[in-house]
Amino acid sequence: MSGRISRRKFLRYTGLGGAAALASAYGLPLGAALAQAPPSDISEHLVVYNFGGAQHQEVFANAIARFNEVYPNVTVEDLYIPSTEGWGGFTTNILLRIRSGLQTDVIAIAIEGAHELIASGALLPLDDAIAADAALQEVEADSHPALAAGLAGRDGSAYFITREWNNMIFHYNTDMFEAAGLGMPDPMWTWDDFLDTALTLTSGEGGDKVFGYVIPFFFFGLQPWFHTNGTGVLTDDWSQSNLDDPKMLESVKFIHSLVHEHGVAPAPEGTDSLGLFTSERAAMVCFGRWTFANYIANDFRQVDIVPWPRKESGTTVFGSGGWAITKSASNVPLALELIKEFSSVETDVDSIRFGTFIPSRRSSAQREDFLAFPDHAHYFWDSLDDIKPVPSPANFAEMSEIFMRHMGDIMANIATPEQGLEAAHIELTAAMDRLAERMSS
Amino acid sequence: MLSPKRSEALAAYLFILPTFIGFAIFILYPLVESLRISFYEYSILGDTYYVGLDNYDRLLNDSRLRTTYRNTIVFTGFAVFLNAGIGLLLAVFLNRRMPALMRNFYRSAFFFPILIAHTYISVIWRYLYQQDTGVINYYLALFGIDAVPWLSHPGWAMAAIIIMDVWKNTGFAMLVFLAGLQSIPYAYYEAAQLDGANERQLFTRITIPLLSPTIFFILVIFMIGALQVFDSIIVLTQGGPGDATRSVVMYIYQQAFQRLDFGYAAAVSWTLFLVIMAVTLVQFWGSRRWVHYE
Repeated sequence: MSGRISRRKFLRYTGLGGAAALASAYGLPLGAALAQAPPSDISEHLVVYNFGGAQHQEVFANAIARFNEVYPNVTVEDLYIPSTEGWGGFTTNILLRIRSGLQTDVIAIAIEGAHELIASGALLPLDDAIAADAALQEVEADSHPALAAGLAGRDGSAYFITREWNNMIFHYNTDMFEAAGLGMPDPMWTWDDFLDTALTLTSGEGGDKVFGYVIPFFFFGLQPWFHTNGTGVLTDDWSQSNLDDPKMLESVKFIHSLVHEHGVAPAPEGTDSLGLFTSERAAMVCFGRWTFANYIANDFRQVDIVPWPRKESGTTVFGSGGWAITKSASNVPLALELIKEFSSVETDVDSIRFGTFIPSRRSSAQREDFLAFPDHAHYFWDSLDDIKPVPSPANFAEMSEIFMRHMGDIMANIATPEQGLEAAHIELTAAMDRLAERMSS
Repeated sequence: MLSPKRSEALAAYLFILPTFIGFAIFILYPLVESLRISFYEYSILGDTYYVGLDNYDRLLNDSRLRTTYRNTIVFTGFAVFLNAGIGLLLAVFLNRRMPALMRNFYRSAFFFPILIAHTYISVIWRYLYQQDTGVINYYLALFGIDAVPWLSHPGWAMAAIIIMDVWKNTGFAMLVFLAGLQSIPYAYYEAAQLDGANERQLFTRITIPLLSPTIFFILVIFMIGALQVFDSIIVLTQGGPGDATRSVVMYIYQQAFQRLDFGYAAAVSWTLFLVIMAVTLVQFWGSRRWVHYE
């Protein structure tokens, strides 16, 4: 690793840092305190609550190493919490940690848990910090407004510096398409076109059956089937259930029909979508960019991407990650410096090679190494022009669990789509009412 | 100066003190605290409110709780019966004369799954159970059997969990039964054989009665464990499809750590605590009729 520091970094790190630390220590406005970075000889211990797999850990370990080139006396404890329980469990872990009085300076979280954290009052608003810091402004300017908007508090305040993001997009097996005499799907294709394509690609019976499609049976994954039909699980302000919208029923019936009427997709519950796709037992699946880590690692190159088929629109879904600072952070200016390193171009470039996320910087998403694979990798970033954030109210874990449990009933034919959505609507309405009551108190 | 008797008593108390401290901190205090929380609307970061018996009132009208209790009872019934039954059969099989190498191989093979964490096993079985790419359905197809929807059908999903649980835990039952079988004096069998007893009579009149303390132990241990089933289900089916395989402990976890409704979760926890205690007391009471320690 190079020990050289860029001129910009040198200026950023070695300016009037002492003044910033003093301002912070004496409770001056955050913006003033953050105008300059702390001195590079400062001794401190920072605790980061992070998420991600081994590849993330390597990327952020590299970022911390770069940070330590400037702040050699600062130790950074980068804690990775498995998110097997979903974002609800992850968020609860953080809240319990803060409640227990354990040091937590910097938090990385996805949009699904972000609003629960904001609602808890544990996070520091960063508007002043961004307004006073050219480097943070540069991060936001190089990003897409939709990403920051998704993470903003309901009061419009900024609590997060954008991390990487992901969307939902169609992945298709180019070899299987070619063998079936199909070209690349038209980027403006419709639900009907999709169904025709899936029917063409479905063949065989029993254990030898090859499916045209696998339903992405997780909350994030299902959203584009609703968005492209001009609807959603919640109302646009995420305050009420929208499951009584006839368009929701239409979407759910369509998803249900893929398994139970057309037979182009396997029953989704418990199905290993990625396994079916990479073993060429399914021609189309839907993920974001995160499965490209698997494709790259296994040299599975016969894959390309195409936007979601349209009904009323081509609107897909995104979820973005963000970096936040807690109100109990031991040294806010220093925590901000660490976040800048986590959001740096170097970190973006480091993560591109693993194929896990879409970088939050436009400049990174336009790099040749990012666009090299798959052939139409530009659709990842382009999707931001017609996209909605995954509905993420402060009760995300409860809301998404209610919806997916009833979807499970529907897809297993325990309930009809009508019955399942009606039951889900009743339960979700009560949950959203409870949330409104909690937020108002 | 303490009398020898008092000195001995003091020494005894000092010896059990470390255990008691651990028990008080890790068992007793959480127990009392959970009872206290069950009377509150409890928030992680915000205020908490005393709500009296409201959380217990909710229990009565919670249809999902009834579903999870029904699932847990079904799982417990099958898992305990099959683990104990198959474990006993394996123990009887391995208690026969056979080459030492073979005996050791079988004992190790049957016991091996117990050494692996539930989570790993669940991940592996999840792949085995895949409807379209799973190994199990592949072999079933060789016999002309249609693909079984192991994880996507409510009935099959519960069966899948029970099968995996038996595969993992029956080795432990086998080992305990084997130890019990080997502690039965061979003289009893010899005497019975001299009196003309056949194999079935040896098993039902000597083996089972003298093994009854071991059977009782296995039933109590497995019953308590099964009523608290959690990790294998959360990895294998996440409680689905719908609520078809959700256990009470999963429901408690969901209420507490997904819905942040700690008060209600504590109230449900107490119902489970009382159920386990009642079942165990009934087992001990019933054991007086069929467990023979001499």
